[in-house]
Amino acid sequence: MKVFIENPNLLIKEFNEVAQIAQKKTFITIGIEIQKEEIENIKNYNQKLSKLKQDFVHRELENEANLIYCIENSLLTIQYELQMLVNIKEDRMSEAWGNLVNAQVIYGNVVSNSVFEIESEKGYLKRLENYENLLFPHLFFQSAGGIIKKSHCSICKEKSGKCKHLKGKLYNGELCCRIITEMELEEISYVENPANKHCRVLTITKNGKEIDIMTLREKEIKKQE
Amino acid sequence: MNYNIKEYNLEDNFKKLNLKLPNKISFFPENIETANNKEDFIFTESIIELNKYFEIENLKLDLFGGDSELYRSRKNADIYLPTIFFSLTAISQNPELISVSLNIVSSFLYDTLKGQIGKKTANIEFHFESKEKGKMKKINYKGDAEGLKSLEKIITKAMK
Repeated sequence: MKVFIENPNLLIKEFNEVAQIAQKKTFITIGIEIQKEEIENIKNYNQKLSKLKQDFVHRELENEANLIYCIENSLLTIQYELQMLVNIKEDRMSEAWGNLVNAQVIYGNVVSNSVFEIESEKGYLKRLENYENLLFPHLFFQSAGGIIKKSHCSICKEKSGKCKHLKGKLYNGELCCRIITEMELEEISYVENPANKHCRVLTITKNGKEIDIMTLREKEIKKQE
Repeated sequence: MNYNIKEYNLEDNFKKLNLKLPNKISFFPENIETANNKEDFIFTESIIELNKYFEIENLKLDLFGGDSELYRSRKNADIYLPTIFFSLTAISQNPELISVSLNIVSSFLYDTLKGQIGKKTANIEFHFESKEKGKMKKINYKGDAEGLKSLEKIITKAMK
């Protein structure tokens, strides 16, 4: 991958090719073994990208490091999409939901760091939204609210508000986050439109039976020996 | 666009807090009407990022009552923005401040919503002094980034 250090455009070309091959396998009809193989291909390619990113970071080439972040995470999104399809075929619906949410969040970070508004980005986000509406039942979520007492920036470790780094933006190939280290919980609400779609209602109780919302199967209660 | 304007009186509360109305544009805490002392002030979490957007435009806003470390976080898909106070003095000196501020808030919203799935609503309150002595007003806004820009005329009219 050393050639990319001299010419990042070649990397974009290669990414487009890798993504195109992988996306041809993101259909429910594709053989599960082919999808599993593609997941491994992406993992291996992303490992190489990770090393290349470290090289760019080391050389203080921030734009190039950020570019790798976006490429790496675009491919990771396809990996999660494939994993979701594999999970559905294996009757692992909860994991399938988790992987779809991961894909939505990760691709959202890529889009929010794009300098230009690209039509294909919107199209892919729409695809990820459509999966949610077509493949999964109507879900209910929980949302927590509270008072943040201590937090700091993930990039420079300064107290929140004391630095110039913007949450959700890339700095030297790294996504800026707010690390909350102390928080007082005020409320937990049931919401239809949550910030975190992992935080969902898992089961309902009907006629004394605990039912899994995703599959409508009665949940097995493990007996303690 | 969904908004409403209310008149209110903070005089007694300011006396209790031993604070004076700022003469610049500032961020107000969420609990300005109920806090017993300034150490109890709780600001909306998004203030941390939004103030950086103001700073980029050379307009760093003060937090009323001094720096705080208490921020209210709501893990809801809607966006809760901090309360912004426009003082009469600041607006008389620079009438453009309202439109500049609304544009900054609007571009913050645009950036925050970029890449997110589903419809999101922004919630924000603007407090301001009316020309009638001692009178305060607040506008509560719920809507998108575009609608926010059209609040300029409404705020300017309400300050008269």
